[in-house]
Amino acid sequence: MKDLIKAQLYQLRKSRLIIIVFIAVLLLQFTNLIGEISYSGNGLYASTYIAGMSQDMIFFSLFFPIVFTGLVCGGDFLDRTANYELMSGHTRRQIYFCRAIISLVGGAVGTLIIITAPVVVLSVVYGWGTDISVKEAVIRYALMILPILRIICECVFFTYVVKNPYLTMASSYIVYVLSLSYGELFSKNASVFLGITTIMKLTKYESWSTYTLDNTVDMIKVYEATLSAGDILSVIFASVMIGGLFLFTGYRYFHEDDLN
Amino acid sequence: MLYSDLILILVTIGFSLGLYFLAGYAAKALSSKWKLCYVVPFIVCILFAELSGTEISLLGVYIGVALLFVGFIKEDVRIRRMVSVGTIVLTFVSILICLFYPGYRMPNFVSDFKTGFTSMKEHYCMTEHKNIDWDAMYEEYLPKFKEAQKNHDEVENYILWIELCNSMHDGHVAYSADKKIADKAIDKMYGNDYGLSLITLSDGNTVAINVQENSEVYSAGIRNGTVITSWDGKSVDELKSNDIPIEWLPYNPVKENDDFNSAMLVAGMGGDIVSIGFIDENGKEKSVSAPKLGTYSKRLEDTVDILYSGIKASNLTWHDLNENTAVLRLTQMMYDTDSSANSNFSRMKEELKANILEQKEKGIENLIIDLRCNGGGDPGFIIAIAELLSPETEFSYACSALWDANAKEFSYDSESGTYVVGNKVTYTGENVWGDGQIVILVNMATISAGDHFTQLMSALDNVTIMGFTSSNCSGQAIRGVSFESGVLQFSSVPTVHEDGTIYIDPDASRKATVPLDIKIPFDERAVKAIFDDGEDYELQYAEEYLRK
Repeated sequence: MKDLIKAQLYQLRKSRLIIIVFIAVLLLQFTNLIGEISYSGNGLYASTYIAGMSQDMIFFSLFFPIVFTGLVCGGDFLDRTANYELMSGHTRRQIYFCRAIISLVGGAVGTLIIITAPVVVLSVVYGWGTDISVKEAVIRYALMILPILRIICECVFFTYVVKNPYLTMASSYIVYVLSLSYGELFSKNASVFLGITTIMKLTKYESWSTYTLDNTVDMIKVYEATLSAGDILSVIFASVMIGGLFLFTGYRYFHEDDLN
Repeated sequence: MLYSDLILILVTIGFSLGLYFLAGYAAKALSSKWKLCYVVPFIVCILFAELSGTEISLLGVYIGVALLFVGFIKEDVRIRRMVSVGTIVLTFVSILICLFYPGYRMPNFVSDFKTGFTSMKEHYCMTEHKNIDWDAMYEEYLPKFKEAQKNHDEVENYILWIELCNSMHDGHVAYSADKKIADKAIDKMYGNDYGLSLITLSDGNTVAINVQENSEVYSAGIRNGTVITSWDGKSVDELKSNDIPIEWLPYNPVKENDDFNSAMLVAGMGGDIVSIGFIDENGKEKSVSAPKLGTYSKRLEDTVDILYSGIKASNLTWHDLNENTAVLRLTQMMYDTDSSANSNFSRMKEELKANILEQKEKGIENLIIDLRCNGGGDPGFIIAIAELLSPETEFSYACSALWDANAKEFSYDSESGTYVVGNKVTYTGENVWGDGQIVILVNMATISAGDHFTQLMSALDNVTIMGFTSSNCSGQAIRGVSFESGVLQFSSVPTVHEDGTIYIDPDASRKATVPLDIKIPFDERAVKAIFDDGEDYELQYAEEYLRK
């Protein structure tokens, strides 16, 4: 298992595509950020960005774990490395879980870096602000790891079914976009049954607007960022259960599957 | 049954049947991809759960879908067929539960109560001013909502919200829900119709109004204005003070206005037959046993409409009453969406200014502004009109409370019991109307910005505020919180005087803060004019007043 992980990490260091995708998504985040800063005029607090503007870019950043998982899990089916690993005495469980673990860790860490980088920059340059507290943001970002892991698990399952990294990337992204549209169109209140709607739940800050009698003062938007215990538990439970189920299903499928 | 649940059930049965017949083929097939068919129902079920949420009545379907997943793991034809059959059986059990379980897709009233109540407790801006004991209220209502939940009684849930909202004595605290439920609840709340409504006159007598012609009470000689001495064996005063569910009175911030309304509720009390004592046209006391004719809510609605609606005309329309008096109807303090969005009412103001000048050219000297049933709106609208009607000097409107961005609430000084004052709003009069007399007609349904306008105008010497009842006296701005069973709105944005005290809304004593200059007596003459002759008595009274 250790050898397999080392081999995968070596491949990753040499993979230009992953680095290009990582930088491209990060650049997109910062391009969007510059747009938001210039739109807001007097700078932008990190908490204002998180509460009101980060949701769409978080969705876009999920392109990275899809590519990452596709390459890690599916890349070795193209050049038959997986077949050779089997022939050299590694078990299917080792082959499957070594790649799954790398996808989960690498995908989640990379996505978190992409998501948090603009927040860190804004905090340093303009400060945190008052829209939401640091604690509330940290809780939400920490919880967000779980649906990201769940989406990666779904990608792992999908990759082991189609056994082609590029087909995985394309089709996973289509599934991802469709579920995003489904969530936005049909789900009245973002629930936790889809990975993407779980992220919607965590990135959507309930807000209400207040105003004063003097109409020269702008409307004040108030965010209620505190998640209920029920919400936190449902995010954890659904992400772990469904993610785990997809990971298990992928393994069972790969275990019995013919590698051609 | 919800369409999405029905489709999920049909899809699950379809999958189960399909997988039953596929079991043999999938076992023989070389490709392991056939196994994935047993994962599909699970994914479909997740999509449906996301679409319409989970439902306990569908537990059989969920277990069935999980059973089908076993077919992915166990490649045994017999087991695969057994799970398919098991899923079909469980799905049929779910159908029966969905059809007969009264709690199917019923919102969780207790959780909704907690959500709405907590939000209101945190953000309501007049807790100290109105001396509200949130803990006591929570203790009182939680068991009631639990009971409604236990009985799956959505009508009772609605009634409890109405009770709770009206017990706050704030016209801006309101609950709304599905119209069908609301209609059922209102029918239940206001009791039976016996062919008449009641009202208490200024002299203290309670009389019949809105009497139905082909009814038992009419045959017995009860007419509009007939004095009612007893109702179901008790005096009306006794029922008014002890028995009527006072929390069901709408428009109730001001105690005096409650008193005007309360007899109307007595007219719905009683069983299948109610005994009504009255004074006949010869002055003799008589009684009649009146059978119920239906639900009282329709008659009550009709009575309220006759009494309160004001001139039935569009907003900002002018009517000539006589050669030197015109009426301006204001149903709401709104003009168009553009003006509201930008808080810029200059176009409306220009139009109104031209109208006023035109009226003056015609020789109009007196103006009646009909604010009855004015539902409120934008302060910008009020300022625009107030500027046209006020003398050329600066007037103080009110102040905003100071917003504390860190605490995410308006700054409140608990020692003095007042808000910290933010921006002060003033306006300068343009004296377009001049010195001509202005009468403003209000009633208890004149609310919010309607109250604000009445308050501003009351400062002018040439303005007289009149009506049967004072304006509603609810002047704070609102926010809403929605949950599964409905939407709750409440006062959350304080508007204050220069000393930080609450603007307009009465305190716990419930005395009118925008009092009437002239309280129009509600007497026999008024009853006859309104309910027999269909006249607008308040408007006539105002006209007569201006003539004098």
